[in-house]
Amino acid sequence: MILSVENLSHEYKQGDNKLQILKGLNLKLEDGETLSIMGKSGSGKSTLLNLLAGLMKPTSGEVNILGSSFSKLSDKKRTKLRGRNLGVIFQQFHLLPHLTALENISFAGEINDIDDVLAKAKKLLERVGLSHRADHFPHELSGGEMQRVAVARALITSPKIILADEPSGSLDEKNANEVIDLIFELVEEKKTSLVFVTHDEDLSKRCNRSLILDGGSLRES
Amino acid sequence: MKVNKLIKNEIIHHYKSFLYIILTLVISLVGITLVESFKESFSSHLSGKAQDILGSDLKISGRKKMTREIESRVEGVISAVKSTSLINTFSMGRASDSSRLVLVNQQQKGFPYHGSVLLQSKKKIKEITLKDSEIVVYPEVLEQFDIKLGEKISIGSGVFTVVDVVEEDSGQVFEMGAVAPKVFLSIDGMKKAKLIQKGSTAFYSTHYLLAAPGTVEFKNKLNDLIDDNTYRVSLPKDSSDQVGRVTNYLTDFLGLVSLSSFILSLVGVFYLFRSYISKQRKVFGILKTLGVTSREITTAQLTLMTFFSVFAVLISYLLCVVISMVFSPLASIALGFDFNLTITIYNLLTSLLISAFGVVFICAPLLLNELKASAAILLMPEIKSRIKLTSYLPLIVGVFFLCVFFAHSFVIGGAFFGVVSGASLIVFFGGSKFLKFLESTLKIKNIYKLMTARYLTRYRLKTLSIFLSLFLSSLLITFIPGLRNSITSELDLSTQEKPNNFLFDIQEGQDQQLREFLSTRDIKILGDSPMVRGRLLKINGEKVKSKDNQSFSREEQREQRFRNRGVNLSYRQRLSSSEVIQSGKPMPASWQGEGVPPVSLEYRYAKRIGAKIGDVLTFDILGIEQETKVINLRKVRWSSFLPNFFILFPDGVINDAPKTFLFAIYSEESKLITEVSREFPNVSMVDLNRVIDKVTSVIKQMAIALASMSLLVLVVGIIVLVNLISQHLTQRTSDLFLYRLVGVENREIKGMIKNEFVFLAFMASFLGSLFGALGSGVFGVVFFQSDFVINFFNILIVTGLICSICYIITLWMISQFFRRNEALVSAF
Repeated sequence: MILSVENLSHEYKQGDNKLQILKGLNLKLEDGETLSIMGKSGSGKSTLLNLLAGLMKPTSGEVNILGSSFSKLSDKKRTKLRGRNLGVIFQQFHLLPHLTALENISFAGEINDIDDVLAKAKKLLERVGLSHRADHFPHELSGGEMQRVAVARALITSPKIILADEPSGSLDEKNANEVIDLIFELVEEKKTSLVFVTHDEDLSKRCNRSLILDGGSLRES
Repeated sequence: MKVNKLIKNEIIHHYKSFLYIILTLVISLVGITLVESFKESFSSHLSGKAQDILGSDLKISGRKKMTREIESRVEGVISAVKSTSLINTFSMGRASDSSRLVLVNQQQKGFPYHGSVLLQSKKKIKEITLKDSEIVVYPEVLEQFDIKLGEKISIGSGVFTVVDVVEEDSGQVFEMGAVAPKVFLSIDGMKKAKLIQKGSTAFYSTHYLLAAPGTVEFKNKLNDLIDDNTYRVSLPKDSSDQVGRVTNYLTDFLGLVSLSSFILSLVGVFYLFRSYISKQRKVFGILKTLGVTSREITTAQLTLMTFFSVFAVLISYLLCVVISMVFSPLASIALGFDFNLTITIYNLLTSLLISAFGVVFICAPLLLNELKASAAILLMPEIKSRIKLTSYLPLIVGVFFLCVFFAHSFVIGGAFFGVVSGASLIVFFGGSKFLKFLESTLKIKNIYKLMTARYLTRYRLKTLSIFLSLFLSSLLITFIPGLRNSITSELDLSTQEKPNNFLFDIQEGQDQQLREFLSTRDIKILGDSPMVRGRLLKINGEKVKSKDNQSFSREEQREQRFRNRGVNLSYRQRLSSSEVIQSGKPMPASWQGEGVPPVSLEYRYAKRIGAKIGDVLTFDILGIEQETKVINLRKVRWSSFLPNFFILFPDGVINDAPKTFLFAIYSEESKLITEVSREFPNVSMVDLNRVIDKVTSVIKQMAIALASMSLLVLVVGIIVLVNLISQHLTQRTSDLFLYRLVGVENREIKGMIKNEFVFLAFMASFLGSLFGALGSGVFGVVFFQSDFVINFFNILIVTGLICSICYIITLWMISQFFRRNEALVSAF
């Protein structure tokens, strides 16, 4: 078991009201497994992904990655665990604007003490078909290119799990298909687990397992 | 209607950005308003007291008595109710073991016509008649001679009893650096003391009480009528102008410093508005799509910014009113008279104009540049617009005129504009190129330090805006005390190469006796110059006219003063150690009497009277016209304190003219002054240390005023810095979130931000203070011919202070930011 979630609940405060997003959610992910999570807009998919990545603190419940509970680790250990074992891909790419494509990829590796990081970054950039764009800044790249860089960045530490939050949501059909193909190809190549958040049924079918987030909890599709 | 709605929406959604803009403007406008109102209050105080300062409605004065002929010419055109002729002179006063130079004023019953000199006895000086053995003194005389009321004091050859002491003199307003305290004697007393001798330094004046006040035209008419620039015609306004001259220079400089805080605030407004516009880009795109025109958007935005600048002016006005209540009593103590700082509507309008002008001209180019893009382009976040420097030409021209307006001088205002715009251009263009170069050569192994360096080198506009605001603040803060150090070190007389006493009014024949007197006491004469009184009549045959025009610039006013006054001429065989020829041929040691004799002019004097090498100048030397040809222009190191002259002849041209001698000596002997005044009662001796102490204290006070104003620049600089850091952090929220995502710890993130700003603060404050110190040193060398003095301690202090302030601010801003964005950047 590479990832497990136990009794996870999360709520947001909206003025005096509390908005319950997740209610006692449970989830398990095996090594190399690909899992899709589907749901309507506002169902809490992105919140769940942020909680899985340890970027938010849940109201209650536990997220365990590789047998370690996020809440029981020190900040330093949590950060290292996330940096080395999780790769996150967002719908809005989220590249560092002052770094070039190559630097965006290598930076994530350098932070996590990955050996020979520059060579690996160059190789990944080539793998995503952007070796000719290595020295370009994000604002000089198209949406599809930025997402390819984000995919390469997520893979630089050879993570155990990739968390992808609607990675094709901001792209046109052609680019979206290319990026999705690329993600699945790389996951296959690297034997990485994948949690894929989407609202597209066809895409969810490409994963080993599909779950639907509805009413704050998960059910099989 | 659409515009109004837009404005309302903008205020609601972006009030924080606007609050920063208002705060930045308020602080800088407070400085400008205070300086302008001080200038105006002081000048209106002096204007109100102008008649009291002069004591009459019209004064005609000169170094010689007005001839009967001129007197009758004058009386023919004026309608005088009364007139009084007075004599003033310098002389040595002695009492027990101490001697000092005093300014002897003739007392005349019924004078002054305006204002009054109130005595301790509660009588007014115009009400009493002094006997020839009686004297009225200023309180300092009692202190300096250690005597009391009723005791005796010797002046010249007479002995006088102190019968009263001046308590309040309405004619004595804010006199900075006066050489000698005043005493009053009757004309018989002056005669008894034998003070008025041929060649002695005496000033003759005739005061008139007029039926109607005189105008500038009236003054010029009198000047034409008198047709002799030995005599100066003064109206009450001239006397107040003369008193206000020192403060005018001070307030001009204060105005420039306050202006630099405003320029700095414009840098802040530029940056804030630019961030705001880039945030609004998409909104503008949507509005355009919905049918709102670019014109409507521009009108709404500029109205909004004008509204904020007006709002800032009103707040600063109210603050100034409060400050003036606290400041007025303090200023009264410092200035020595009842001073009331009044913030007028004129001040409000000036601030309004400057503020609205600055804000509109800084915002309009940004806005117009953005809005010229189509709606489709505006909706694309990846496309950024670039602004041309030429769109800022109106602002640059406007700032130039503001500099000239505040400095009242094209030279100083222009130089200041040159320094500020030069520094800004170097920082923005040179700095941008340098950062680009640095970026390509960066070789830093530590990834966090590398990231810091990348932020600094890749967000160039942000980096350079912060750098410029701190650089200018540090530069000004260091420049002013540095300049003070340069000047005061030049005024240091603790060396035997510089004289510490001047002896003047030495009569012909007496000079030899005095030389022997000094030589028996082993006192070396460091400077020994004959002095002949003369006046400039013509330049190249054209008569030099005494005209009073309403001049705007200080340079024009100074030129006018120089053309309108009599001059001291001297002659010597060779130049003194404090003189060098700047241009032209060396002067012969002596003149053989063939052709037009040569004359050497001090270069700045030549410039002010409009003379150049080869020009023929005609002088009137005690009634005899002397033609001379300018052979060279000299540079004089005035701070050597050696006797130096604007006009210098070779030996043999004016030697026969009646003259007095001026000696400069160095002596530590405390009793020398008393011995000289006993042996040579007509010779006046002035202790330069006392004069320099007064000048130094004035410079110190001016430096404090300027340094305080510079602190205002620092405050504005810091507000700009807070704005920039805050904007920077907000814009980087998603970056910081990404840092966390890829595995960077909070500690490292904080470290990166801290390093970035503290490094920037260090570089800006160090370079700013270094350039400030170097600039003050160079300024001292060029304008005061002083030695190059640089104070490393000041650099250290300013750098340390600014870095510490920035460090604290950065820590505070980071903690605020992390607190606000806990959910985003902090995992668990």
